Amino acid sequence: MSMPVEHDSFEDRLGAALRQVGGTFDPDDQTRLAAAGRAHGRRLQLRRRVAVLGGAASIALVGLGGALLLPGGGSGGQNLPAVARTEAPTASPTRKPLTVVDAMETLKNLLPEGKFSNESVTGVGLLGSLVYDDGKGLSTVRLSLVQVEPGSSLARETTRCPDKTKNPYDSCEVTRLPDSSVLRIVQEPGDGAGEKIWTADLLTPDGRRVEVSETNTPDSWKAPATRDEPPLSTDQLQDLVTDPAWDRYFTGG
Amino acid sequence: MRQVPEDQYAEFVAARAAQLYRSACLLTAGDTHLAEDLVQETLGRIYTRWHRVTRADNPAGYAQTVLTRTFLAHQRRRSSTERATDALPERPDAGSASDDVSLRLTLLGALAQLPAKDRAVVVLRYWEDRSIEETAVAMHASSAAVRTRCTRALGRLRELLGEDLAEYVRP
Repeated sequence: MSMPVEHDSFEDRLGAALRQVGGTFDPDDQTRLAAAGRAHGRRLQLRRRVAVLGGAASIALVGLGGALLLPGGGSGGQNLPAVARTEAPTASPTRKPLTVVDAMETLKNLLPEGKFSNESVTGVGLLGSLVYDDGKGLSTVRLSLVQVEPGSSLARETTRCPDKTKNPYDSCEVTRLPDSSVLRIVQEPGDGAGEKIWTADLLTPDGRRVEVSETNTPDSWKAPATRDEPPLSTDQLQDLVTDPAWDRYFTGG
Repeated sequence: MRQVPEDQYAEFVAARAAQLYRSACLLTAGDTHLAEDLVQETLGRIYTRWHRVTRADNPAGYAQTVLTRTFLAHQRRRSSTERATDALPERPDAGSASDDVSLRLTLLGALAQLPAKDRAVVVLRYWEDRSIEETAVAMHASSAAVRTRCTRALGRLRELLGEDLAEYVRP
């Protein structure tokens, strides 16, 4: 056992420990890892090209076997290479691909009347987001549509509540719907002062995942809460994610 | 859309992949499979943004930032069930393992107890030696938020690790 060093601070020891432990990790096969990264980059780039060709939006989605195509820069956890095995699309030339613009229009149609601004299809892990004003304070609504492999970890995470010790939440409810879809609604605090994030996440038996989240802030990082709670009740969130309007994004319309 | 110079990219990846992997292993509290996924995703994103990498003042730092954001996005999506804690390493009895192994298990076990964002702050601050401000930029957070997380994370780690660090860390 080494002697404690009195002038050594905990932070210094922590840094030393991280370097000591971090240095013990080496990839099994760095060449394979590099090649996989490059191959993934090429796929992302191809998807971006498809998106550019597919319409004005920077993200396009194409209903090919239910696969949602996310280009580089818009990918998130659902697009990790280990689980995203979507191949380059071979779209039918006779079918106009659905774009994220269509998806965001659908979202706006399903939301109660209000004003929309700051529509964005960028951001990590999101298909799109917008700032929504129902007249009682600005909020942000985010939408994600993704096809997941039934039984995969991405599918399973929807069917259980978060670990509260790591991700404190105010409430979480998981419900099996009559068609065997699983609906999870989580209410959790955000990072901002007074920020609340409410999320409805629907997983159908065939792996369609529709997720809508809302906050009581117009910007989760910079702006303070504009209202006590997000605008939609949990029942409204449920209605939103279970609406059949999303079906066409998984079937190609 | 610009063509990526494959040789430049390959050279960069060869130089950085191992370090990215080590960072990812700490971010994931020792989940090497998830760490590989994150590095692969990061390298893919770097490929698509190669022109930004080459323009960056610190391309290696840029890559680490992409990794951190990829990790946080993944955690956000999963919003809970980290694989790292599914197979949390058992803490060894004193004397049953070398100091290196003991430190590794103890430290990774403690990191796994932190929320993902707090862990990211710890890794950026004390593994990558970034300032509060640099950490804030990497995490899309305010400096105040990073300070708060950092203080909280250090307190928790001190509580979890206590004098163990002094026992195991090589001088």
